[in-house]
Amino acid sequence: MELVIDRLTKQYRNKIAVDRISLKLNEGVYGLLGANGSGKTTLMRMICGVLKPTSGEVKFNGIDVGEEKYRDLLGYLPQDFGYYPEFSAYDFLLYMACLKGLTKHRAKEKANELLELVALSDVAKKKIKTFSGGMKQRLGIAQAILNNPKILVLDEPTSGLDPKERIRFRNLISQLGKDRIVLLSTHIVSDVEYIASKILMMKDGQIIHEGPLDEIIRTIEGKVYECTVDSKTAEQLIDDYSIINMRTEADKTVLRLVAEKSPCETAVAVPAVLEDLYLYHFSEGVMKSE
Amino acid sequence: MNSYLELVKFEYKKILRKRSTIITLIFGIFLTAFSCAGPLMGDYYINGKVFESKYDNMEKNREYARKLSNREINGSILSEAIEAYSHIPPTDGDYEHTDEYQQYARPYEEIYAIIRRVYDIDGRKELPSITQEKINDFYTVRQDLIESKIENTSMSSKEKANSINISKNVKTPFVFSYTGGYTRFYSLMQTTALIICMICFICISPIFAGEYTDRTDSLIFSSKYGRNKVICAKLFTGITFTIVLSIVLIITSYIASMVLFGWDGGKAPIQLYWPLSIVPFTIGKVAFLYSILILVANIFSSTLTIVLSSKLKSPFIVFAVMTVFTIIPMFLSVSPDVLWIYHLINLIPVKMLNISNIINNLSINLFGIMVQPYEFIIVFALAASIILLPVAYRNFRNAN
Repeated sequence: MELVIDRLTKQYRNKIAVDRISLKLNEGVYGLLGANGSGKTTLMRMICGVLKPTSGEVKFNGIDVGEEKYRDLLGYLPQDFGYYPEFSAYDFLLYMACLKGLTKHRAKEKANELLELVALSDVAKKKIKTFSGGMKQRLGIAQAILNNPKILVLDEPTSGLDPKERIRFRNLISQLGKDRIVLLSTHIVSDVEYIASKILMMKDGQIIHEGPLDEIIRTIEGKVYECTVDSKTAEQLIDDYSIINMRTEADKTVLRLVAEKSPCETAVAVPAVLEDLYLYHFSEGVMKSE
Repeated sequence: MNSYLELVKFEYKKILRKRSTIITLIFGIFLTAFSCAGPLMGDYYINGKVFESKYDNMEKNREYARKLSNREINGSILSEAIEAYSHIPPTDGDYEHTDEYQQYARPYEEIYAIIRRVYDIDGRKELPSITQEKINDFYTVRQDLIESKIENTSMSSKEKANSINISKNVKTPFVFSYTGGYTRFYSLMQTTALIICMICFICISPIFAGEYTDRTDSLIFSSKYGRNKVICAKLFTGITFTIVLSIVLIITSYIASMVLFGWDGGKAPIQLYWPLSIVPFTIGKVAFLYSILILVANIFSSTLTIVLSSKLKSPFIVFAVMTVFTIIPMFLSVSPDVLWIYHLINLIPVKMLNISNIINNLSINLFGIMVQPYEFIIVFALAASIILLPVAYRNFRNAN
């Protein structure tokens, strides 16, 4: 089972949204991290055949993304997607099942099973327009796995979910990743940290880090420091280093930053976590501009 | 096949579950029925006083016409009508308000309408100028007038000859019949056709474009049948919706007209209503052909809506463009002097809805084949729809 992305590029008039990305994905959960505008959604839409690439190709076990066979193996939960407000949750799943080629009997069976799984059985016959954001999101996840896909692409699957629901879904996605390729994008670093076996970090349309969690964290291992300083020193450090976090305690400022060597006398090297790497790359300039 | 029919079922659900669709359909059916009954509401006034209700007026006219039914249109009946009209005294005002009109002339109102057209007179005052010889020679006078009108058109000689040949196939003598139900149906049908058009615009505009505004496009495009079967299902739904709606509203108009005005006259020649028409059709056949013309024009109009819907990403813009495209040509009047422009303009859906496309005296030489305007329009509308539907398919399949 191999999803091959070969020099995939999407260029809009003045902007390259995805820049010659090449990847090989196998069974497991892949976490796609990146700031807004980094190209995550564009990449996912191309992997799902929703958006045509400017160049490059996507193939699963040799089947091209444009083929019906490929779409038959695909499950996709788009970011900020819509529903037919007058449909009930059950009808919506039956429609999606029909679109995915399930027989009528199988569609009914699957719809009931998945409504149970996402805890929407009680409201199965209610119109979707009466649903909360979290309920809609759960329904979205249910439709994505209706056809038992081999490639499951989830764009911000946990947005809109409360912490309890998020944990439920992290567990569900972990299970799903056992015998299929799951690619999920999120802003919530902890989600990726818990469930992704491999992490893809995207910036300016390119993959800047790719690998298992410990491997990519290693790139900033020994470079993360915490220091407690007065406000004047804090200002100086903010100007000079990539600040990951800042909080005020009494009259002192506690900074967490990335530096090649100890930035000040009080600085203590701390173990790096994924969030450090993420913020290191994506909060660049934020503190300075603030 | 099963999954295809299931997809069609869901496409219908998408259309029919919208509140706007239900309101539009109820309003459309109500408006159709009301348009039919509208002319029967209210009263006729003479000198500020109610003379009779419009319903009584229709009933009385129907009764008079039925009394003349089954009589041949010949010198005898024409003379009776002219004689009846001669009782009307000279008046500056409306002659229909005189007692003499009500007593003598009104029963022959429909015969008078035929005389006016065939003898090409401006009003009742010219009736005495028609000689008895001409009265007895009604069908020759009529044929001569038709042929002279055909000769005065800008058709080619072959087209003129064809029109004259067709006109010679009209069976004579005409046998008079009351035709109020059918003539009401004719005048109602243009309104009904516009109602069908507008309902289709409202309901079909979102068929593709609505997926973008509902933000369901990604779900569709990433699904197994999202770039093939579902598009066919949408096209099928759009066209069948138009066909079913057209048939329902046409039948509603027909039944409403017949129930209110009377079922008689279907087998009478169309020349009782349009004496100078060249087509050898009965009133019923023209009603049927007109229904087909309206059905086909609406299919074409819906096809254009579907094509726009597959290209544009907002149902509102599709609706607006189609509404403008339908309403503006209604005010466009093109003379048949330049025939190719006239025929071209008649290919705009709203212009196809005109009954004159069936009963006028024109022929079209289409690459050596002689056709009537309504035949040309029907073939064009169906052919254009068949050509355009794959364009809509391709537009949506290749959408990003």
